[in-house]
Amino acid sequence: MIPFTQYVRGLAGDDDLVRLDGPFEVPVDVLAAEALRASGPALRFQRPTGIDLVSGVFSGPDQTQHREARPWSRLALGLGLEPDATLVDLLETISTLGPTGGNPEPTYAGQAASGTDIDVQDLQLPQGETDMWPAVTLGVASVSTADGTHWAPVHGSVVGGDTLRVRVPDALSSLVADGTTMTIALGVPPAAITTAYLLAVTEQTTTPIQSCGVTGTVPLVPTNGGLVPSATEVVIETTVVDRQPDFRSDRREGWEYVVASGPLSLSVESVRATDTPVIPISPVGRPLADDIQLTGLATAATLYHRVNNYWGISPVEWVMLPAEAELGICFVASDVLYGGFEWQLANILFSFSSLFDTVVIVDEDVPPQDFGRVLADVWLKSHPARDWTFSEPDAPAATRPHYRTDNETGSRLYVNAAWDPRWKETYIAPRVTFQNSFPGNVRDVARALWDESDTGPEDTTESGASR
Amino acid sequence: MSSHYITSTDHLPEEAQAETTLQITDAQTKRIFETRVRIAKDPAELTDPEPLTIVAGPHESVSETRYVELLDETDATGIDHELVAHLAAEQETASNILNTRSDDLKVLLQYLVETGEYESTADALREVAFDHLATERPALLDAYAEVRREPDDDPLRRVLGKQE
Amino acid sequence: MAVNSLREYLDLLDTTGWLRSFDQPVSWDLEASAATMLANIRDGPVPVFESIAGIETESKLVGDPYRGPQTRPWDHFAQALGFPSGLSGCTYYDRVIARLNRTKAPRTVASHRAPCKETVRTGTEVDLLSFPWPYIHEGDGGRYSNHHTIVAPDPDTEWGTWSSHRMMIHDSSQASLLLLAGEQVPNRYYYDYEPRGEPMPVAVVIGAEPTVESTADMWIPTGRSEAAFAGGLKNAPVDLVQCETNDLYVPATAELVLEGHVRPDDRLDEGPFGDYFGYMNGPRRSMPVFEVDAITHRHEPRLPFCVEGSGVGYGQNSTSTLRLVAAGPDATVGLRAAGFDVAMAVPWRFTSRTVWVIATDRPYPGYLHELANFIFTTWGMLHIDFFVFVDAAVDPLDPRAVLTAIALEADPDADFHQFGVERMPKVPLNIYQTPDEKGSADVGTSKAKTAKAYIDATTDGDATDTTATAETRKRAQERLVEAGLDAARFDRLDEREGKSQ
Repeated sequence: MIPFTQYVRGLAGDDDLVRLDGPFEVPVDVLAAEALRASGPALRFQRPTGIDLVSGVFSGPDQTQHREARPWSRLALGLGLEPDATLVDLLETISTLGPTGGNPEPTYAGQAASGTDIDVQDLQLPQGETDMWPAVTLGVASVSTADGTHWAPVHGSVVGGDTLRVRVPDALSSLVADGTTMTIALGVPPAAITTAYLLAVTEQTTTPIQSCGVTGTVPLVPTNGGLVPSATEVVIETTVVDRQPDFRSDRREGWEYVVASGPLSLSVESVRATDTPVIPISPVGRPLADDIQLTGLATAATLYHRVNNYWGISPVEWVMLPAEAELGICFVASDVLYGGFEWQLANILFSFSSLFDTVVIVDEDVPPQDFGRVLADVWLKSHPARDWTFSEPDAPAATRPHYRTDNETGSRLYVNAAWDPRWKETYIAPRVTFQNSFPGNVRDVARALWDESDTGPEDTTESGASR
Repeated sequence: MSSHYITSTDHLPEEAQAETTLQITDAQTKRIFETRVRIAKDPAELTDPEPLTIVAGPHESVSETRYVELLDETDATGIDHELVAHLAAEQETASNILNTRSDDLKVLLQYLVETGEYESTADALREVAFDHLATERPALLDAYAEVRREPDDDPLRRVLGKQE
Repeated sequence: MAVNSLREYLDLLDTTGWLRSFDQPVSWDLEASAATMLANIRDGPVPVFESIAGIETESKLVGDPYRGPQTRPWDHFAQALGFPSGLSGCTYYDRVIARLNRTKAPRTVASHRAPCKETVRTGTEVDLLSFPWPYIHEGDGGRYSNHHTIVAPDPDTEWGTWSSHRMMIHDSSQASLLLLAGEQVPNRYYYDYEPRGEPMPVAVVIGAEPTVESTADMWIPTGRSEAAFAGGLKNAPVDLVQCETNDLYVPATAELVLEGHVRPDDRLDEGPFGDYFGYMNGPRRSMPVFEVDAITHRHEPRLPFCVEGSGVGYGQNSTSTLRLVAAGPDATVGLRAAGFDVAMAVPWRFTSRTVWVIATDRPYPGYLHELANFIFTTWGMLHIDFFVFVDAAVDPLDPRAVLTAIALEADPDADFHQFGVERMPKVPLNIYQTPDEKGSADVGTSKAKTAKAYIDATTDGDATDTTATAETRKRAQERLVEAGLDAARFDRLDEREGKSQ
């Protein structure tokens, strides 16, 4: 298990985090958003109070450019995987954090956030240019019931000195009553926040974490709102004061598109932090935001698991909901077993998730880190007349797109960008690649030529990318 | 000549051993040319067999190996280069006297000499013939130029120099 | 000042560290191509092969000279035009569009002053095989010249017409040309010269100066000549010189010129070849024959070639870059001239030719339909299958923004048009038709048609603005650059210089 501060230090050690010293004349969420757009490193906002914010820790580079790092590389490290872990390694690891990971014995440790009680205003959470209040993002809400502890993602604002107006999944709201204690945990270990997202997108918020694999890796500590990770940076205990408050918020964190969510008004009872807490933030609503990445990965993990356990065979190589497409398109690489299988696959995916109404199917030999190839195959391998299939316009609207928000039904689309399994082998055009287009001895000569020469204007690594 | 050739299955004749004219590629130089060939599956059936890769399929990604014997190279202009080379080689030890067997032609050529346009009837005939060949048979001149050792004839050099 | 020749452009790359010369002998047979593909994949310097193995020649090979850096693919070409390095994509487009709007007629120079005539070979001295034409991919039908400008006659213009068609070398004086009916020069040959039994004079110009080379893929209105647009792009007239053996004019600073003619009623094999969509494409087809009458060249000619097929996906090569940096702005100008008020027309970065993205307002209902139909019946006819329309405010050079627009704004119910309607012509250069569908049509258009499709990814109603103000974003970017982030990543630090109409 990797606690959050250790995770942040790890990113810094990998040169994947840049420190900015306050004061910040530009709003922190704008700095965070610009760094994400530029596929930059994570940012650490250092303040004189010693309470730092970090952004981009659960996000990663824009895949529309070739890079060495993947959008999921940081999270993979945060979950204890090796730097060269594949997407599927990560998806499988994410799944094991949930109920399919069994229910191992929980371990307990002391609460790291043991400083004196401070005001929630002291956290100086970021406030957007046009926002009224500082924002709480990437939080984990915890409540306790007779069944155990329940976690869910939570997103909201700090109103005045002692009120939080938040949104949580309805499933969590249904477990609380006025006066129930809810703990808001900020800066939890990556495994914990991932679990909260996973439970939300699989609509298993009512499953207690004691029945989840996460308890096997994350030590816990009891609070008045249930068990939270002992290594949490900031623990805010609150009581529910209004289960149906009348406020609207414009922005939604990614998970809010997957499950029904609703507002709660919470009264802050106590705030405890570690000595020098680090709190993650996400510029919600901006491209490549952390909450979108987490939602995409948790959903992909779920879809991958379900679709490979559906037919008794596992034809699917990987599933991806890239943040670059704002979770509105599901990409899947699969063996197309027979003519018509692509139709079945697309429809199964549509039935498992309401986020998207577009599925793109690529061949199983396309690696998930070669998103450039996916963005080529979509147009080159699919026949514009035959391989773009639109359903009857009676499908429910997907939740991510901006159209048909009035819940009118419409069509779904899947694009078959894989080779037609009925085609003869010889019809399949060989790809122009370094491997295919040149025999081994020629490839050796080519490599030797470059290896022996000086490097170019910048380090000519595989990606040529620099920060 | 290298020892490996490539052609397409579309160019193959119906019967395996029939002589045919074929567009083939020299695998080493990648030169593509037309030539008369004999093809066989068994190299023993040919006098001077060399490997021939026959590509097939919509992207020519499948192939099989046969054997080919190159006979005479032709080209699109129909010049038999082997014949030209052969004749040129023979000419090195042969007489270069040509008899036109035409009284009419002799008179006309003599007139050109008498009026001072040429030094001799041989000279006149050389000029006239090369001019004609340059206009009507440039490919033949090209082919011959390729095999010649050195031009020893002013009219030929002149005509070759004028060619586009 | 714009550069005047390919070698001036190469010198420019050298001063900025983007050129790498190799002295050791490298073979034209796959080796030069493989080394170039590695550079393309790795976003490394442009390779120049000074010494060619296995052939006595003063010629040099240059692999994908116009390939631009992955972060700003237009950067090298911008400098070739005399612009500074580091421009944002939008600003670069604006400047190029301004240049294209002020064409400049070429001027002629005398032969003795034309660098491309330093050596002249005619008649029996003509030997195509004395040049190190590369064999580019294993499985190609032959050696290729595929990075050149072909000059052909055009009765409607003063300077002929310039275009690009790949050429497969056969022997010392012959090559086959991929002439696909529907394109201008092939049409001239198939429907004008060949029916009259007349050879069509052409000149194949290799290593022309950058602005000339960039026009080969441009869409130029009938009656206008590419030469004038090249001059506009260059902000100076292009120097032309007359051919030795025909009446065509060729760029005077070109590295190598093959003068010749396309014979009527004759065909040679052409292909297979790994082409722009990233796959080997065959089978070989019967294509017209180019016979060489004269070869002229500069001393130690630099012969550029393109590893075609390496410009898809993440990869970039010379031709994919030229489409982005030249054909794109030109298409923008052309659409505006046709009355469509588009902000930018840009080829999709990952497919080189098949997909284009157009950022535009929608001034009236049916506008996108008209725009799509216009393009499909003109320059988009044969090679392009898809158009994606996005709001004028969306940067079409930002693939993430385009992908987001498609995902969030294009309703499968209402915004995908002409999918499934197979009535439009398509070249056999594609991988989604079966061999039967492609047929063996002599003139190169597939038997079977395809659908041309467009996606309306514009927002209906007001776009929800979730970004901060431009001013705040710019200050944020400056702060981040101060902290050590790479300035090349940011777009607002180089403000767009007003809209050019």
